[in-house]
Amino acid sequence: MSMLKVRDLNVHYGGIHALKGVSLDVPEGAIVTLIGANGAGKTTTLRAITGLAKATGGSIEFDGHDITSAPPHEIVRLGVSMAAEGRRIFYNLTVMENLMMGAYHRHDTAEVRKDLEWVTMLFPRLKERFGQKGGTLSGGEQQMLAVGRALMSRPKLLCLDEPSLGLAPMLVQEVFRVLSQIHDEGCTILLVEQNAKAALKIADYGYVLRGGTITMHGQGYELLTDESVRRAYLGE
Amino acid sequence: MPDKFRKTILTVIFIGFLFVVAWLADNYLDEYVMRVVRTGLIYVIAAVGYNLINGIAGQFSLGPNGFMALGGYMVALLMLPVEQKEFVWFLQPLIWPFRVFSLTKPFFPLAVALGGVAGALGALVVGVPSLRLRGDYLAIATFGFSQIIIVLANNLIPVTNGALGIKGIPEYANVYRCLAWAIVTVIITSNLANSSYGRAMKSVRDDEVAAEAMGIPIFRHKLLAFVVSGFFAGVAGGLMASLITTVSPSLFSFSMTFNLLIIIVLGGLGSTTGSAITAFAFTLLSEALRFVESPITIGPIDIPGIAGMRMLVFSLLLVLLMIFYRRGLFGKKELSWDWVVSRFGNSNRQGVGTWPHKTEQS
Ligand SMILES: Nc1ncnc2c1ncn2[C@@H]1O[C@H](COP(=O)(O)OP(=O)(O)OP(=O)(O)O)[C@@H](O)[C@H]1O
Ligand SMILES: [Mg+2]
Repeated sequence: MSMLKVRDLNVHYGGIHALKGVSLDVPEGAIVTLIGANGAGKTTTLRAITGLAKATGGSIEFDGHDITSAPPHEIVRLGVSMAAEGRRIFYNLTVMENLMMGAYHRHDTAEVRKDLEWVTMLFPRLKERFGQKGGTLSGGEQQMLAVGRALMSRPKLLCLDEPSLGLAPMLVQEVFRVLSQIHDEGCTILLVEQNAKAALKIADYGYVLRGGTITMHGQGYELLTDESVRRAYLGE
Repeated sequence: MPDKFRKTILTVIFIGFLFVVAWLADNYLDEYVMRVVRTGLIYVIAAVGYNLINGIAGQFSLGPNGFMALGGYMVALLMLPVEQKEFVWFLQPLIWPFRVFSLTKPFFPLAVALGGVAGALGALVVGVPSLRLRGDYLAIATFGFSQIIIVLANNLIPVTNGALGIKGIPEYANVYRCLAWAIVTVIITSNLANSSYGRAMKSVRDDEVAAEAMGIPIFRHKLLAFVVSGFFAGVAGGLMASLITTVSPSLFSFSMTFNLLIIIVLGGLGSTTGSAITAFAFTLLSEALRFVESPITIGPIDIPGIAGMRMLVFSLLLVLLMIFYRRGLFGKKELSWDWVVSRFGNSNRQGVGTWPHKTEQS
């Protein structure tokens, strides 16, 4: 069963036709990755799914609901959350407040508290810095905070836009370790990555995006061993 | 750290203390000084409200003078005695229903609150179209709006009596009423800022797109901040009208907004207590600086009074402060009981925190 169904999605930014008919499926419980060169339209795809960019054509269905033109806060409520590209944490709020913003629409206080503990177990570093302002964290810590914050809405589908961007290899490993842990606990993941190799390794399924269209898709390991993918995206 | 209950007790005691000080001042200081004090308290209300939209929600508004004008005229129309109305509007009659009634002294707080409502409605009218857009549309829209209000005040004679203004408003804005409104403003604003609404406002300020992605309805929060801010501007305008006993278009010119902007930037954008303290200090200081505009004789040298010298001195102070305290006197921090206790209450905890102490607020 597909949890997320994207069909023939089109997005325009003014005169720029950024997505030209993207179709993809994210089955429940899977990790699906979207890879592609700079400017291919990966971020735009996630923005359209989360309601931040307006679809000019096609449809997006999540959990049986048509969310093609739903506003972001309704989409979050349905169970989609995103850790956006480039961290984008709230600089003047504390780490704790940043995390709480992720749970903004939730009213089950006791459960939120549990999830706060869960997130700080996933990222122990965040716990040490609970009262510190977000803007004073290091780049890597901010990245963890962004992922942790997205988890605080207890999403059914977690969209991640380049969570390993700008991280030292050690931290990249750390982030991927957490991703598989989250996945093991039942969260479905749509992952956009520059680090195509690492992404395809943990993904069940992958899509290759180029110039606003899907040019190839297949099982993670299939793409990983595909000659043209290796040359274009894995730098081999 | 004191718990919530102890903090409430401390706050109540502190408020009582403020009223005692106000009583002493009222009985022992002269009329002129008390006028300055009342003006200072009114500036506290205006600045704290203005800081809510500019500092806490991060939306650049240039409208408080317009909203203050709405509140000021509202209070004038409600409180001016009927005979005085006939006397003021001698060319064209005042519109119904204001022509036939006026409120008595016990209803003055109601009139001020209705002045606030007028300011809030004004904010709603400007806010709904302009806050939907990203970027600095609010600055342009609010600037335009306050200009329109001033033009209307000059020309809508059956309501405002035009450039002549409205004279003879009863002077009910005594120090206790001004203080009470200032306290109400600070308490409501800081509670709002520390609520989940306030956190959402701050997150919109820090990163609007990320806030939207978190599922925060950003328009609603911006509008809430703006309407509450408009309410307090209206309250401040209403009290001002009753303090000065006159309203006219020039009273609510753009320089009012400019002063408030200086205050909240000096105080530290985003800090409620910073805005309040700076507003009061600013008013006292700007009165104290009046002497630089009067003729001064130093020995054999006669310096004639130069109008506008005060602004020069102020601008200089502003530049210096911005060089040495780039984020304002308070930054985004708040003066809070936590800080007071950590500083004075508990000797073995000395040195906790710099001044002012960082609290959970931001
Ligand atoms: N706000 C915008 N206005 C105009 N054009 C935009 C906007 N955002 C993205 N684009 C354009 O849309 C195209 C797709 O951009 P997108 O950000 O989705 O790429 P991406 O695959 O995420 O790239 P990267 O790997 O560099 O993050 C690009 O050509 C980009 O220039
Ligand atoms: Mg991108």
